[in-house]
Amino acid sequence: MNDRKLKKLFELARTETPPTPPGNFELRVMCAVRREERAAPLSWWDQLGALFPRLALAAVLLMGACLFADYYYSAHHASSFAEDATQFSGQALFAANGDGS
Amino acid sequence: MVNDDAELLNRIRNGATDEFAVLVQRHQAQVFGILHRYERDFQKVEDLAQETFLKAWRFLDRFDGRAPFHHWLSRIALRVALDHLRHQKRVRAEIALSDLGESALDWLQAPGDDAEPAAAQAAELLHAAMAGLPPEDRQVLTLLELEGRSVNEICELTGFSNAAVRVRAHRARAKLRKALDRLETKKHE
Repeated sequence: MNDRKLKKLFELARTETPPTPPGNFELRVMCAVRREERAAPLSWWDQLGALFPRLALAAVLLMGACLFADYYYSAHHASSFAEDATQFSGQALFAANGDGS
Repeated sequence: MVNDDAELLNRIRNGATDEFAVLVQRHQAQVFGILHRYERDFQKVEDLAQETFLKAWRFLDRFDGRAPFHHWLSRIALRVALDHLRHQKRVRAEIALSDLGESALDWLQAPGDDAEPAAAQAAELLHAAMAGLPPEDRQVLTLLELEGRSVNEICELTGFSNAAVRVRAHRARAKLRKALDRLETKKHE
């Protein structure tokens, strides 16, 4: 490939007529713009709202797990989990006040 | 209708979203022209043009008005074209002769300059031969040789230094010549 021929090839390609955009192209762009606007980023409050079903389910599961743990603990031990927790907090509270009975 | 791009942009920024369509109409030919240098499939050119305008819309706040709007839009279109070249999964290692016009090949292989190919065939031939070039080198060569831009303009559009543009253009031209040489010998075999 000589330089002259390469130059000619570029010259010819340069004169090519570019394709004409379709008549409704701007409408297509505007549709995409509106889709984008609708999908605009949510505020943290909206995001929290969107997460609500999952947060509620997580809270229910956590409460269920606590109740199950209490039931299981009280079935296998003489005192219930709640009683032990009360006893423990009472001891810790009285110990802090210098009255450890 | 507002004639000035700057005034139109102000109105769009102030909430006249629909007027963006006027801006699209005004600059769509320019964007199609740029993208057509990198993609021959019209449907894909249309998709890339839409992506270009969508990016312009997204980053409209970043347009400071120091350069004309069409310069800024050209830079976006070139970035879209470059990304497209990079993401093309299947780069043709071999140029399919069947894809090219017979007269273009005949001209390429003939010793003289008689019976020049049509502009579209020449562009097709170059497009096929440039498919193997690194995307950045291809873009520099396209801007320099097909769009007739100066080195300084290419620096401004691509962000490459003056030396980098010259090196890339030189390298791309050498590779292109080799690809066209391969095409020349292919038919003789």
